[in-house]
Amino acid sequence: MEAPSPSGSWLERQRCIIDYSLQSLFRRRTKNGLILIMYVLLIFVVSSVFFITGSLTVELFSTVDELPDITVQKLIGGRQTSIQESYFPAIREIPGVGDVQPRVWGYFYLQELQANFTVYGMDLNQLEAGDYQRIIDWKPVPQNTREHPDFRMVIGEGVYRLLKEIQMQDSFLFFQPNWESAIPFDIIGTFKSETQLQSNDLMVMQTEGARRVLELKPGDFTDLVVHVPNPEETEMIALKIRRYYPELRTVTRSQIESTYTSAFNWKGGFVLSSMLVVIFAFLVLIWDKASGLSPAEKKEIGILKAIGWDTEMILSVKFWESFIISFCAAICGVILSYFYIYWLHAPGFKEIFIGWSTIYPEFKLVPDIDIKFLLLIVTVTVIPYSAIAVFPSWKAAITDTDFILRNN
Amino acid sequence: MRRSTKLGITLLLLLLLALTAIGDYHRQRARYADTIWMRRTLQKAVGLTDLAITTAARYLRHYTLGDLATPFQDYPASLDHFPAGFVFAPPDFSGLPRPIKFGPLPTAMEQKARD
Repeated sequence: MEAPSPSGSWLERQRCIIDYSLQSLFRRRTKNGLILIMYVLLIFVVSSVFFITGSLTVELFSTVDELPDITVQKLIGGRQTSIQESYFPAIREIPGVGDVQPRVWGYFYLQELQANFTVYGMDLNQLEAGDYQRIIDWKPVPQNTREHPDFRMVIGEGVYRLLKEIQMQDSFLFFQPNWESAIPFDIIGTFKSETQLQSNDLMVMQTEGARRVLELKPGDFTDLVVHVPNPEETEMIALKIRRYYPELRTVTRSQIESTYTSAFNWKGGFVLSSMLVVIFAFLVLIWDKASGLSPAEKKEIGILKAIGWDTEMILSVKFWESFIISFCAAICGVILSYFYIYWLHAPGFKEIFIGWSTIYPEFKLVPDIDIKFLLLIVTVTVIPYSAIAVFPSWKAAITDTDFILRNN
Repeated sequence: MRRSTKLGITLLLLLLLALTAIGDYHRQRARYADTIWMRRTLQKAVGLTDLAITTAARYLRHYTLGDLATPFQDYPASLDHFPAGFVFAPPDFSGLPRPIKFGPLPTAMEQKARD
């Protein structure tokens, strides 16, 4: 080590202490290296969990304003069943209701690919006009489509990728063993990749076609959506619908919002289980630091005291040692998790969310980082660790030098 | 070179990395405006809830619209066998029908208090 300049300024003094702290860290490089790696991993896991859940929540909320005000489902025996046309007029007559629209949608499970598609029925001509046409990559329409206008569909990117593998990207044959014959659907376009977080598993088709695929009887619908112009009245109208028809269930937009809020927060199983593991590991790390110094470390403090260092300087050395480790670990952990989630798209981590699905998006999430969260991470990791590491050194530093040197 | 200088250089490198991340953050946020417009437009046309991050089960794909029984379709209180099931907290089930009560209709405030 070079000799420090004779300047006695506070800054130079601290620099000399940092020099000594770093030397001391390098002397026990294996132990400190392991602590650093573990520390980085801990912060990396916590940050990754918060980054991914934060981004997913933001993605959920980004389109919440466009959701229907009230969704009405019919339940029988606690399970959802199709809702009949006969409910519409009575609901439409409730004061404050703007419009009631039935919807035909459901799922189609393709056993061969173990894929679950979301089938949604609507008037496809609507998508060909105005802003809607900009969210679709249109494909050249086959000649025979005009003969079967009901059997055409626009699909999500994930569905397209899957159908391409079985060479059905132009026309897909819907078939169930109990059907007399298969129904061919022409694929007239795919939803743009920007929308894949919502459209990835979608098959949007003409309502009549969807009815055939979902085997819905005429006059039956999956659910209905109620538009309420005055948001203040939504809860009351939902309540009235439930009171008039106890078998109906209403899902208001505010309920969807509250589910969105709590879906990935700390109460969620995934966040909670990751947090518990990380908290436990962090406690072990803290416990190791607080439980005392090794005889060699105690001896070092004894020698430093014997050659004239005062307690304050010894504490400064120990503080810098733990601060350097924890601060570097915090920054490295957060930066690593940023690149892992937003550049690499969370390989290995996204599989937890995907589960057993065969159709899943690329997890190109928009970064959403709360500055409060970053401050929290630094506060709950750096400060306790730095503080707790000083304590055993302080205990050793105030003990009689002679006693320390003789007993170690 | 003094060790503190080396530490300073390391911290400078980390700062540079952090600045790259911050730059990337702003770049991605700026690009997001167009994406969000497209997704809103899609949502307007297809008013379905939730994200397509998992399609393993219908109550995971549209878990805000799932009913109480769907996760337990095999038998009552059966554990969810889909691995993605554990990432979600339970949805808000306050819209489910309750036992019919006779008497005057509760006011919106009363209903809110009950929920």
